[in-house]
Amino acid sequence: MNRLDEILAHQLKIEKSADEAIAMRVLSSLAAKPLPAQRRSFLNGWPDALLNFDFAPAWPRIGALACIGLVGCMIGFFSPGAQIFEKPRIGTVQIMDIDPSMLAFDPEPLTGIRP
Amino acid sequence: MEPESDEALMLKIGRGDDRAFRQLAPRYAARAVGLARRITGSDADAEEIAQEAFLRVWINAPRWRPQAAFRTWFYRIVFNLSLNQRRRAPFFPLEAAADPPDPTPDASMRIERDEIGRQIAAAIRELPERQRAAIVLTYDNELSNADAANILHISLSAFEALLVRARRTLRESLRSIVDEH
Repeated sequence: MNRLDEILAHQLKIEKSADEAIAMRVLSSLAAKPLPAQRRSFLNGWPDALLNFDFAPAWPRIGALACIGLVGCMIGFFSPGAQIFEKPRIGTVQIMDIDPSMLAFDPEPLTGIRP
Repeated sequence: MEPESDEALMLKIGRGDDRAFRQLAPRYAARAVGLARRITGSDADAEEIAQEAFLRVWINAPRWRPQAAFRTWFYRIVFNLSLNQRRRAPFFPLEAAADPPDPTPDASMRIERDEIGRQIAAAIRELPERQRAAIVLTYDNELSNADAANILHISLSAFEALLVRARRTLRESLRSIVDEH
């Protein structure tokens, strides 16, 4: 440690007694009044909130449920009959051989014949 | 029994344990006041800043994660509050007020000693604020360069350069005192 270091360290040490007097005032004023409410984030706090109501999350069960859900999705998406990722067939119009009167008129209740 | 670490106390404070808070605060009160006092140059501001810093610790404790040392996080709060305060308020140096005459026999020696102390304090005070913070964190709070750099949000090499510049400036302004002693 050179001379400048010694002088600086000594000077800052001298001022410590004043720091301590002020620090005592800070501590006594903190002790004098109630502390404010703490800021809690919902993401970190929700398991605690559930614990208060005896709804503790059972993480292994939640994990098992998530795995089952994932397996279900995989089967649904990638099973042989799944068409979710196939391109829609555009332009394949199916012309049905249909009598338009079937759409427009009800059949006779007794005979079943359409007008 | 070994005292609990700052980080263990912080985890308790995060769960709302005010006894842990009252155990942790005295460990850092004087240092927080010292840092704030040397940056702002005002006792009243330092008191206010230290109190505000402790309240912020209490309020934000549930969101604190033990990834960095508590000390580094806390000093950063104090440093930022001090800079904000200094930018807001005009600066009144601590040593501006004259001392009353002292009737004791060794008064002349004490006056000389006080005068030297005043010169050193003035030289530190005249440094740019980041250089002053570097000096205070290194000599007063005895932090490692890495921790001090972390508090000032700068790289280690930038901090070391800052410290070298601060020391060079102080050596120039305190040449007479350094050479004499």
